[in-house]
Amino acid sequence: MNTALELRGVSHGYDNVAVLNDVNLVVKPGSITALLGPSGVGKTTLLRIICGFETPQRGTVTINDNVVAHDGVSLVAPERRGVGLVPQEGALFPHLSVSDNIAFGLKHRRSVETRNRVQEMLELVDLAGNAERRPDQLSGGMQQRVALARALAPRPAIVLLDEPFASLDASLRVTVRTEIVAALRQSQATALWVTHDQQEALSCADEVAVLLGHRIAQHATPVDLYRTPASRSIAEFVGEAVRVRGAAHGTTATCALGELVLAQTRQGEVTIVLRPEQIELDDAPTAHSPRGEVIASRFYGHDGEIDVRLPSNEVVVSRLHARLLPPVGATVALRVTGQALAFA
Amino acid sequence: MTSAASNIRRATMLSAALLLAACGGTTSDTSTTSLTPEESTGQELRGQTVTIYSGRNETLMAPLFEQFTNDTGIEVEVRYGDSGEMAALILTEGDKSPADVYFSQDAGALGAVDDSGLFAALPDDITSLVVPTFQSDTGNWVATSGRARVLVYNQDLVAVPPASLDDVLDPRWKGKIGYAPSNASWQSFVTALRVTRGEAGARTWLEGFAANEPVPYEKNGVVRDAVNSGEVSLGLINHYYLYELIASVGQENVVTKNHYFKDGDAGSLINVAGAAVLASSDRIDAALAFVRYLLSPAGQKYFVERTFEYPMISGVSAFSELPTLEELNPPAINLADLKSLEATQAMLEDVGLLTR
Amino acid sequence: MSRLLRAPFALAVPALLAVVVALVPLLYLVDTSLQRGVQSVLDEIFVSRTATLVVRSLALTVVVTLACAVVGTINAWLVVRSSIPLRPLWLMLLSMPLAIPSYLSAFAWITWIPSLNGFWGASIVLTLASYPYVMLPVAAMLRNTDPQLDDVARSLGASPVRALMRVTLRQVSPAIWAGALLVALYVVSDFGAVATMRIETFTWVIYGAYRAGFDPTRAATLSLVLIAVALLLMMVERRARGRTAQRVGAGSIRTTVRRSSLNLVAPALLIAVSSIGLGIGVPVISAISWMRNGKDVVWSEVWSTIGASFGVGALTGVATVLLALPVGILIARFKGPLSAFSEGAVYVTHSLPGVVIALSVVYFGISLARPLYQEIPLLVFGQMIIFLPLVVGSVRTSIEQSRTAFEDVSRSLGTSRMMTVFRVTIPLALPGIAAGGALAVLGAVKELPTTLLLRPTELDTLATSIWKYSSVSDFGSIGPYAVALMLLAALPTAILSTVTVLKVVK
Repeated sequence: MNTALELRGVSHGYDNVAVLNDVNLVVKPGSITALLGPSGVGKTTLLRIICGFETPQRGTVTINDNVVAHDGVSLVAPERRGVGLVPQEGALFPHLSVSDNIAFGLKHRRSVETRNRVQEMLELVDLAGNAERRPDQLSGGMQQRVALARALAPRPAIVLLDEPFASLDASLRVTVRTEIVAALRQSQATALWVTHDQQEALSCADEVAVLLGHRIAQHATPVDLYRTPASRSIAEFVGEAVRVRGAAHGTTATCALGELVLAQTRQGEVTIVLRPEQIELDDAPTAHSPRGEVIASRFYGHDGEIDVRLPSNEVVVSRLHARLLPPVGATVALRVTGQALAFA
Repeated sequence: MTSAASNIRRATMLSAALLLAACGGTTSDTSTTSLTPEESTGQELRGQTVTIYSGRNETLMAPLFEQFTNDTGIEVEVRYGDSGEMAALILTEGDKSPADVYFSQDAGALGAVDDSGLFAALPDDITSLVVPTFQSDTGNWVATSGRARVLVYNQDLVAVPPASLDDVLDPRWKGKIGYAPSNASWQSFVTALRVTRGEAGARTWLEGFAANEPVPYEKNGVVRDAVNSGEVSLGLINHYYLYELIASVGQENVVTKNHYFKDGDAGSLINVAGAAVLASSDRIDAALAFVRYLLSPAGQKYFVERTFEYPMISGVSAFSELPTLEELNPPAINLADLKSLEATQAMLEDVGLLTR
Repeated sequence: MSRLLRAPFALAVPALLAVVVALVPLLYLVDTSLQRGVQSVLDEIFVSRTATLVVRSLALTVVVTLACAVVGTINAWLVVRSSIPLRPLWLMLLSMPLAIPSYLSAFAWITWIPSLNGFWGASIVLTLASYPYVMLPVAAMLRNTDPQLDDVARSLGASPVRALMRVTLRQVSPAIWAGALLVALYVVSDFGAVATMRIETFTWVIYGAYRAGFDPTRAATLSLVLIAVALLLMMVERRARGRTAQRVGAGSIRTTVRRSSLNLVAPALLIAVSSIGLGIGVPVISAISWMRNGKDVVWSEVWSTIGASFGVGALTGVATVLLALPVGILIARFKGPLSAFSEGAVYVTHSLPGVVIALSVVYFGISLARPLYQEIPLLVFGQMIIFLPLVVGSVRTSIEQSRTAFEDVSRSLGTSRMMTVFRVTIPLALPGIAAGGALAVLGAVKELPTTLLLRPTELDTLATSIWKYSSVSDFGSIGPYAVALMLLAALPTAILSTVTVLKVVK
């Protein structure tokens, strides 16, 4: 088995408005793949197509090497696709207890086997002892963990997580996310994780597929995606981006921040894209060091950011350790580390 | 009687009938209808059940039906309802109707069912009991009792009641007349007025009546109570309401009197209740026995004594205080003409007497 | 989003069965009317009196529906959003007018104030009898809307009244419209109240065709006009509902923040107290006073009629729920031509007076179900046709308020569409099912014309006993039956409001 999920040329739309346009995607068994895209780009539609709640107008959906939908025809009903769904806010059945929720997808609901599997799943998500509680007695994070356990219990070919933490508090989100990833890893499940939060995608997934402009714009590991995004729009969507105009000469480019080393070979007028953490204060400036005036300063606690206006009138953002933040109005010298991205 | 009891009884009868059929015992089958009316006696009909659709009220009629069963041994199953809706029920059921007898509060409803040909012809021994005025031209239904329209008046307030229907329009009765606009007998009276005086004549009288600002009440009984309490001086209702009041509170508490117009005008209209036998009935003899009983001295006495109505046969006289039917001198109209109630309602609505 | 999901066969078939049942009266009307030829049908309908009465009926319908929308919404707001104490009790009391048949309350009013007859008297009685049809769905929906939107509006400078009108009411308008449709259809079909109040509406003509014209065919033809009125009302409601913002993906239910400014609560409280006092107080006090000047009551008879009413009511409740469930699910979850047609079919006969529905059951029952004729099953069948829309509406609203994500999860866990209906959709709809069942029981206990015509011979229910004694003005005897009817009907009303209360106060 080479792929848990494969989408080939999937296109879909409503009332002649395209939502998905020639989407191609492969999810390898045992991996966690994030499907990252801004709101309204068709992530949920794609998810519903994989589940079988929508049939793609064109293209092929393959799950565990079986074709389940092809060119407007659904070949396998949702209940036979072996897809575990963790919807937004969990959607635990309010009329069932935690253990009944987890046992919902298991056959022979009263068997010893089922009871053992439910127990196993409860332990997996660290909720043993909550079996008989009702969904409304659980916190939001606990509800999400039960929803995952419920999806994993029938050993699906792939688990689909649809913005699973959208409704959780920011403080809770990181903790629950870590727990969910741990549970997914431990059960060696394959997962497709739909999110609009790039931080979530980068930190949790083995691979990230970026859905932009109704298609998969780039599919790469988190590190590659962050360091070498395929386009300026991906670069700006994945992580914070600082833009300056520049002229490229092969592997280098000149701009208001001096001469920079490029990640790819380019020629002519380009937009140079840097990450804020690549721009540092130059503690040993020379006469050629780029300088600018601090026009804004933001304190985040562990670190901070400043906006610096360069003589070219371009404004760049620099991320600094909090104790290094200069006062607004100061003139600072800057230094760029690492390779810069350049796009025509 | 509860439905459970009657259901059990029906089931018992059904199994008895099946048993008889199985034995081929037709001669001993008491439910046979092969006997002609002349041959049938109460003895042979004993134990049969007649289904009656009654447009007349249960509280008034149930004792009479019970008395019928006691006297004849024929059981009754009675379905009560509004006379018009019972007629609609029979018309909708058609020749599959479970009813054997239709007992109506109203001649118009009987006429409508008769027009559809659903009634069996009544034998002469029944039709000969009632004067032609109070039965159908077809001989398919007969009146069983009558009620007269009257003017009730409070003797403390009124020394001399209006002599005729037109005197009621005298301005001195302005705001002092009670009536029950939604009551069927009132509407029958207006229909009779349309028949006797013509549409224009009836409208003129109604407009005069409306101009006298009559006080509307919910029911005839309430009109009577209003007259008796002096709330209004006069009331246009049926004759027997007074006697119901006397029976319930005693003569000493009643200052109301009936006034009969006796002038051949609509004011002395006689409304009738009547009965017919359904042609589709498979118990026609028992059904006829029921109609016969209504017109028997026992049945007629019941109407006289219990509902204070006019009897329909000679030999039974009305409640002693009532003028005779001859003295009443009712308008000479065919009761079947009272069917046009809907046009009456339209006219009442028009002159503002149905609603404000 | 489920537009591509066709309804499972096992759901569509019983739903279609319900549609057939609901269309029995229409089939009867068309069949009966056409017996005399199309021309005579047209002649009957296009006379000027028909137009006058349709206009008057519509005027009454508009006035009562508007009044119910206002009173019902204000009362709903009071019990859900204000900070008055004992809100569940208020809600229950405010629901209680449902337990009183309109013919009884109209009668109580007219004997108390005889001059109240006519258009405005009928409007008052019908409003008091039917505002809960608006109040209950609005209360339930208000509970599910975010009160913080109110705060936002206030912070933007809106007065409490303005915030209420501009924000809160907009949000619950689908519930107001749905309730208003039921009220409107009810007013169009009502005869008891308008007859007692002596206002000649269109149902008068229909009853007149029976009671004065002795012509059921004419009545059937005229009833077609009411079908047209029902279609018109449904179209208006559908348009209006289409324009209102539908609720988007629900989050978990937050506790409603309740704070109330006195100048909102005081008038609302006044309206609520009047609703209760006039809606229940007048008929209850009248019934008790009739009882006091009554003669000896045969209690065994009272008890056996209570038993009969309860039995018929319970059977009707169960049967109607079973019939309504597939339609409700179909409409809520499998939108498409079939569900739109089913919805229309179920509602369209709700504008017909009971006597027409009863005769339609007679028309078919006498030939097709002879052994059941004038037996309990056909009586229940007739009642079922009348109350089907109430139960379908209740089930459907309840399902629509739960997220489709539940069903999606169930399907992805290997459960078929049909099993998902049983394992997820129906359990989620339980409050709606309970409320719908209670509405049907309530209606069946109060229903008079169908009971009179379809009941087993000599079966007396509370409603038929009240009718029996009222036609001879025997108030003393009506008393105990009227009180018993109101008490018996109070039971399902309590269940109905409790289901809503649970939603409201949880």
